[in-house]
Amino acid sequence: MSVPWISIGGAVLRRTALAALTVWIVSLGVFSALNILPADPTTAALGPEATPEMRAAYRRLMNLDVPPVPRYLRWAHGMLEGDFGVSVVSRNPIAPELAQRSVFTGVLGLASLLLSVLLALPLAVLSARRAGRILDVAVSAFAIAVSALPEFVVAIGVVVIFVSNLRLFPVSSNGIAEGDLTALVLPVLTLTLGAAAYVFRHARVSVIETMSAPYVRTAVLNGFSPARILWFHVMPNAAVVVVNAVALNAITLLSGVIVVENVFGYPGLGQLLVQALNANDFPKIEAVAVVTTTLLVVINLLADSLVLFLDPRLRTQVASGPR
Amino acid sequence: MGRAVARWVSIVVGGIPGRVGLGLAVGALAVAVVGPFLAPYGYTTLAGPILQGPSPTHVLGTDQLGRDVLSRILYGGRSVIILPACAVTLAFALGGALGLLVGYRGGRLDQLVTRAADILMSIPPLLLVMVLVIALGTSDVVLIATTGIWFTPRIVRIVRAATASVCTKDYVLAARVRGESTASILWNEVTPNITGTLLAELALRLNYAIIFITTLNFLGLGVQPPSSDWGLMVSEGRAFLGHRPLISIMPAVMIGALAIGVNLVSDQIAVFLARNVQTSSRL
Amino acid sequence: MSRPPPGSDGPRAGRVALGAGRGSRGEFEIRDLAVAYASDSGHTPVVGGVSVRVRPGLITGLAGESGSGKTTAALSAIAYLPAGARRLGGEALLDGQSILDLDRVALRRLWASKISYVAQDAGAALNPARRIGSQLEEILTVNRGLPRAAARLRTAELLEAVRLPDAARARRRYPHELSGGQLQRIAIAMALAPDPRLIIFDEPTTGLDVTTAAEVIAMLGGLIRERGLAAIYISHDLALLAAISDELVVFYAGEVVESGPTRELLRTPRHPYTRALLDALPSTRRALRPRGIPGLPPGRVVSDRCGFASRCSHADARCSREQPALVALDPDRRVRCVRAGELGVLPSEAASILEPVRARQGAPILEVDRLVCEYGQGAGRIVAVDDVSLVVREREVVGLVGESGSGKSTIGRAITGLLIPRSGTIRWRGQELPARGRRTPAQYREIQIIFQNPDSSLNPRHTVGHLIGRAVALFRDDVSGSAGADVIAEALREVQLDPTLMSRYPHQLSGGQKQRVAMARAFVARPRLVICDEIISGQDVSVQATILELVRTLQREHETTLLFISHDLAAVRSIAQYVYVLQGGRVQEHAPTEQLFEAPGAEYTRRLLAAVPEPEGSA
Repeated sequence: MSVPWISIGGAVLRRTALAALTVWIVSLGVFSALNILPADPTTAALGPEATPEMRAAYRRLMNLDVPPVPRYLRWAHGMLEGDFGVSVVSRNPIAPELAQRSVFTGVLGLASLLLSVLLALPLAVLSARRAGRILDVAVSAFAIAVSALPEFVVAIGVVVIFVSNLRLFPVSSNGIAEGDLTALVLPVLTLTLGAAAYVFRHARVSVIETMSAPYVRTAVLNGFSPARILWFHVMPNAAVVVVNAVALNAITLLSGVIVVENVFGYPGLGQLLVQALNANDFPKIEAVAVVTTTLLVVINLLADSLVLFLDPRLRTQVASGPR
Repeated sequence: MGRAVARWVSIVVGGIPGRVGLGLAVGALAVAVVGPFLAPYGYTTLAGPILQGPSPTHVLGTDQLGRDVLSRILYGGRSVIILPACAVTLAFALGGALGLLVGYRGGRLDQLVTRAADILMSIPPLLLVMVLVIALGTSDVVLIATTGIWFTPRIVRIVRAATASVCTKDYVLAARVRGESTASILWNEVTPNITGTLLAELALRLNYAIIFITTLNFLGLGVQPPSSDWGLMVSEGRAFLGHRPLISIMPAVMIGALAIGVNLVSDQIAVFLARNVQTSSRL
Repeated sequence: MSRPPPGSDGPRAGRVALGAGRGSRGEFEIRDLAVAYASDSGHTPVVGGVSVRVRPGLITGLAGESGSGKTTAALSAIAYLPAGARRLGGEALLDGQSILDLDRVALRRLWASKISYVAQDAGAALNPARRIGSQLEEILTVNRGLPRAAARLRTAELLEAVRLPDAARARRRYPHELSGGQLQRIAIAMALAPDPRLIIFDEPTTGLDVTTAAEVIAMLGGLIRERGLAAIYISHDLALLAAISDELVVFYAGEVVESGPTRELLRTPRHPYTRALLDALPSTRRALRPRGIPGLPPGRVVSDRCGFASRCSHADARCSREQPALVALDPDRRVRCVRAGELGVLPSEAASILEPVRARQGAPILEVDRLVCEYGQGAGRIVAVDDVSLVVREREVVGLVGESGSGKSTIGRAITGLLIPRSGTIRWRGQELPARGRRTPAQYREIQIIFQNPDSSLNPRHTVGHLIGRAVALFRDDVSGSAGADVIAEALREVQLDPTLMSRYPHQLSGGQKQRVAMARAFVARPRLVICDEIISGQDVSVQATILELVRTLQREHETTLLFISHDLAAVRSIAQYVYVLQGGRVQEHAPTEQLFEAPGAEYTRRLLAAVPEPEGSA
């Protein structure tokens, strides 16, 4: 069997360890930023006009009298058990709200990711085959324009077209909480446009480059049909780059999610984060930060492992150990 | 140095995307820099009745407080350009120096720096910056510093990779055999051969910085009112999209023009580089 | 299993020429083929009026240097025009059928079943994401319509036929897991798979070790003749073509300048270019000084005069006025030269080495003592140099010979300080060179190196003047600021380059010119030792001869010591006075040149010498 499962497994394990390390560092970083960096956490949280009583109450609530290290450990330990603390604003436990919103954000993100790939890949292959011709130039120009724009500009554009003028969909996507799926349309559309543009550009370049590789000439001279060459010779090689691009895309997607949820009022993690930031609700901020980072890191891990599996060259490097 | 600049400008305008991009970017830049001198009103001046449509006295209308929209836009470009430019410069200075050194030396330091960069890069950026902004307040300095620091690992990776690939060439070995110092080698032999990569990355980072900072401003986490920063204007005008869309749309268009322009320029450079790797040494 | 060395009568004895006469089964004929590249400035003809007959069971060699049009001609003849190329005229016939006007579908069928092409770089020509077995089976199932099981069987047979070691395991491997030689065999197996009528081999052994190449060629020759295939073998290596081809066609400036039976043509060349090419070849069997050909090839078809005239030592007024036609001297010999009749058989103009073998004179200037060099750590550690000791004396030319992986380049790197050895010492003029840390300015000046690939050793962003000027600034204390330009000009003239090239960038020069700039840069420092690390490999044959000539001249004029590192035994014989033979990081043998080549002591040296093909056959 030529797939060195043990070595791939070892590599995946190593990457998992690195991923866990990343999450841990982020939790440390966020905690330090909010608790150690500011000269006075109460001022940062409550503002300069807070009364001494408010500050004392805050100190009590947040256990600020406990030194930072044990405080961090308690918090981290709590998270591992599923207790994400209590919101300073609402006094409610954070975990349930976090869970529900994670689902909503997950749905949004996954739908956008899938749609973007389904849209971008076929277009990329088509464009690559007709590189330089009208279809390619038009689609590429559009993709460049969209991928260069900030998410909120795309969002505003979507709102103007579909809400103000076409009046097709509601501007607020709150309805998802009641299971109204039309509330998903506009946010998904916005995210998909941006993500698809990004994946399209990378996939197109990858296919074009692969098409000019020497082994493609060999396949041509072996008399294979263009279809066979494309699917059996070009795509297996281009796939690696594409998977990488999709993984990177997932990261930008997450940033875009925050903006899009904000613009459309979609009740997900992004909206929660911005609300928490504006309210200086530190425990919530910390919780959301850790959860989003974990999500991101897991996606990266999956993509990395997939790439390892797909590219035979990486496998042997992994198998023969570090050089 | 002047010759190098002229050379790269001619490379950029050598293709249609580059020309369009340069035009857009320079145009937006012009508006941002020269705008304040041309504005008919101040950006906080209550110049007319609220929420008016376009008229001879207010070409783009007025906003919800009665301020002239056109003037606000002319004033609002500064932060969109200066802040990203400073952030990118900072990141390049830090990351570039580190990347050069590490790419040349290799070894343990290289592995350490690469690992650290990898970890830093897998942290969601918006998250990082937002948290830092909350902790440290929303001043310009904080925005520049955090954006710059977010970029630095990426630039270290890119510069390191470019440097390492140049250092496999025999002309770098030849310089070592001649007994040249590290500084001399990095400056004379390596840097002229990575300018292309650096420029392409610079333009790309500028694009990301613009996106990033305008997004922060949009979310209210960056520049604060009454500034007429374009991102902030888009956010403030959201409520009136049905009635007076220009308040949001015009600044969005300006941001779009700048972002697309910079991106096209970076693309043009990247395409030039890719094409010339094959014909070898035409760089 | 002993095989007769190439060049002797072994492989060719007892063969049967299958088929004769026009249009017989399996014959491939190219008639008057002309191809041009279209560009903004009009079109550039690169193949002009090429006619070649390839008979089944025989190997027809296409010889020529880079830019001579041989590959373009061959690919165009099977209707694979490179991007931007257009066929201006002519035709190609396989089994009497014209193939250049077929539509795309018919062409694909032709390529799938009747014509195969083996590319130069087998590693790059195989799909890195698919297993070897899968790629071979694909040809059989798609092109031959075999069912899976039968295809698998046939794949195994093919891999055996090309004598791939451990064929059963190789099936499941990916290309990057195999060596160059193995990949080349697989590429040949893929070419044989569809049972074609015609196979074109495009420099398939370039980049392989001499011994590996010899094995591949021997196997190839056998297969072609057994199966009665028509074969074209493209190569720049005349010696190799002498060993393997039956018919030879010599290309220059996009045209056929001479053709005929290989043995006869090489023994009695009638075209001045063929003669010049032969004279440029060094030899392992005789002590020869190869001669370079002055000037540069035109790189395109020249139509109003003889393309070689400006470089030809036999040219007269007619040669620059009229374009010579291809004329048949005998039924099977053709020459394109107006003076062919008068000139007759052209005698060799290469000089023999006349100096008697000198005993090693001069004091030792470089002493390498028990050097050990390693790469990598832990399980992946490779010992590149394993306890090597050598001595180089003043003003001597010492050759360091070995195949890839022998450690010869590593030794050069250790001497220049690019590599830190694990143990051992290197003494320069009695002083031990520091393994780490800086050397003295004198040491930096006195030891110079010329690298193999001038595309890599010359900074593309520096002008020629700057490149040489740097060495002047660093090492020539005797030169004041203003005199620098003169010194650079002088250095360029010494390597026969026009001083006006000072303001050019490397990409504006040819390969040979670039290497000469690298040489000028090394010698302008007035060093005591110049390490030549494979300085001729990768260059055209005639350019190699020029570089060898130049480096010898420079060495003699400046009384420099040379350490000449190369895998090319013949080149080493032509220039070195003392030779070290390396294998696997160890010195197998060392002796004065004559002695080593005439009466080699070590088994490895004998094997190495036996594997090198010679144009004249075993003398």
